[in-house]
Amino acid sequence: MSAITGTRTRAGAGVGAAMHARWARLMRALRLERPRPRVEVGIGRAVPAWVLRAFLVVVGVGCTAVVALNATQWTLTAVVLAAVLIRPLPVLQAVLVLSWGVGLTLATTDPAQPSAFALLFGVHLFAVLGRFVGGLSWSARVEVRALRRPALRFGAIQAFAQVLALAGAWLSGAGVAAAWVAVLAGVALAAAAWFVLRRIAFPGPASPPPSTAPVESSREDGWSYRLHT
Amino acid sequence: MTWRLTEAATVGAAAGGVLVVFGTLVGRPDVAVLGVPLVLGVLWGWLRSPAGSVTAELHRPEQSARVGEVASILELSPAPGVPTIRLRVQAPGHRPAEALVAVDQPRRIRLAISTVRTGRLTVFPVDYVPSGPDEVARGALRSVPPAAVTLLPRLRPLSELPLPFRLQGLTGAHGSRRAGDGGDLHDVNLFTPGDRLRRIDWRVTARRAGQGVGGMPGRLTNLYVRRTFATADATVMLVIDSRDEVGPAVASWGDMTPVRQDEATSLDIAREAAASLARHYLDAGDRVGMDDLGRTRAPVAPAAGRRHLHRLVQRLVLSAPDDGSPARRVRPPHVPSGALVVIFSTFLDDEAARMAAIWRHSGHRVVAVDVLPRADTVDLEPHERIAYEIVRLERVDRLRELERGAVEVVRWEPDARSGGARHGVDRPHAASDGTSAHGDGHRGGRADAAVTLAAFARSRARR
Repeated sequence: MSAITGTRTRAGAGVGAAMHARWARLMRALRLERPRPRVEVGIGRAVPAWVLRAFLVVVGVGCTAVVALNATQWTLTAVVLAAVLIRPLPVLQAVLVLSWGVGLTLATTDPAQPSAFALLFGVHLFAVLGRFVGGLSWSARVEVRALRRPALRFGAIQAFAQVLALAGAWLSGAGVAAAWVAVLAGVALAAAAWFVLRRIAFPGPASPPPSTAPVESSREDGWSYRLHT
Repeated sequence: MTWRLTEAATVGAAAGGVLVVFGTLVGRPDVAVLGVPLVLGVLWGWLRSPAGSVTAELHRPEQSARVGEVASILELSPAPGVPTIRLRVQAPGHRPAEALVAVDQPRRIRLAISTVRTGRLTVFPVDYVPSGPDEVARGALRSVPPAAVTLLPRLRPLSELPLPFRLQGLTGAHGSRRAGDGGDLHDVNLFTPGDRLRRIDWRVTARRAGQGVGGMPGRLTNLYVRRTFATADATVMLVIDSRDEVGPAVASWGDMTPVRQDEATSLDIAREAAASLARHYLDAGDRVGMDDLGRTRAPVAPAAGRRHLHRLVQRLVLSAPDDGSPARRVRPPHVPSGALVVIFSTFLDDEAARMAAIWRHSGHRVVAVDVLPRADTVDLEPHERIAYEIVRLERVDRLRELERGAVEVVRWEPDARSGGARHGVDRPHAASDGTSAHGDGHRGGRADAAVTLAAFARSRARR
């Protein structure tokens, strides 16, 4: 070590000086002009996660526009959406979904309104996007290829849900008793619970653990003088 | 492999169920149907969640042909049914990269970082989580251990370098001062026992014999031989000072702040300089050895040949500061008699300068190569600035003292690609005054990185 090593340690003796050094370091970090380079990962065409997160908020704004009645509702939703933008927690997303359901109940009494179908699309899209962006940081990249199959599944489920909504609106217009709707919904939920419970009770076979052997580079083999001339 | 529902899927499905129940209770099918896709999507994803997982293997990283790039391949082998994987790849001095990658088939993903640093580096620890369809279920977090890679210094082409005051050996690429087998004429002398017969200069012999008395032809009494300068090789000792490693940012000198990967440290510069010099001397047939002021282990003995260059470079890249303060040397490392000593140091303390002075006093030609990066003092606090000024002035005095002691002090400017501006001197030069010129075909151009060194050596020799 040279003579200069430890200069700062010697200069900054005492708690006050240590605090000052920490503060100075923080200020330096904030003034940092050049960001550190990023590790390059060679994946296919990708979109940044922040784009998906921003799109999630846009979808949320659209859903709110369908059901919002007053400024208070807008304000509350905007606060939660801002929180989702910063950190897309599942609980916040669920709160928004429930608020839109309640809002739809209060906003209109006609189940055949076009806004209900638009909200059905928006709520589903919001939930799917929320699952994708939930565990990703701002700077993460999402390969477009990874979104294709989910998009197809989204389309299939959405088509089914829209048909169901149409059927619900028709049944409601035809004066079918709500008790029948409740019975149908109960049957559907029971079937879903049965599938899930069966899956939990009989999980698939366990896969072997991955290899954790360290990878060591060979110094002799990994270099050629030709590279450096 | 255990697959679990994600929190988002669980909460989303619960919210969907609540909407279905709420819509049913209030008799609103449009509200109830809002929850159907939420529940259905989670149900679908959960039922189709795969049984197996993903295995990942990191290939050996290598220095790629692109300058300053280290690359590796991450090979992903997914079990059937695993659609995506979340990756997080890290490397020292770099921001981690995160990605959601499709793995519906085995994939090879290229990982790369750019760095100007040299030496040992541990790169690319990978954390990954396999995801089920629609991110409904996830497998357990797994990690791939990082891989170690040795980053070798770049070898810069040089055109001329100083030679020792006294050349040794009976053969080599340089002309020595003593008479012997060589090319350049030394003198014409009387034939003495030991001279080769083929070196007899018959013209001179006949001319001298023809100077007889009274116009009579002379007798052949003495033979004359043409003597030439012998050739010899040089012995060069490269002494690297690995006791300290500092980057350009002075603010990081006094603590454990890591140096940026796009800025070369003093040790990186020293490695590049030493490796470049070693290649140049070895290409000329000279013998090069190496020692490390920061280590007490045996030095690399002077030798020649391409394999020896490999040995020297490997020793260079493995040199690193020890933990704690190294013991002060009582005597300088032993160097062969008559060797040129080139010492690479930051000269931030007296140790390297003291060694250089001792070697010079004992008759060696000593070149001190200053490898301290250009200091960046932007972020210094006032008291740190004062401390740096004191250290800087002490260093300047130290270097001046070396110059006064007939040690040739030169500065090695890192290449611009090595994270620093290059300020090489472009001037034509010739092989004279104790410098050698051979081989690389980069005479006097911008590619010549050691013109400064050679020019300085020439000027010192003239003085």
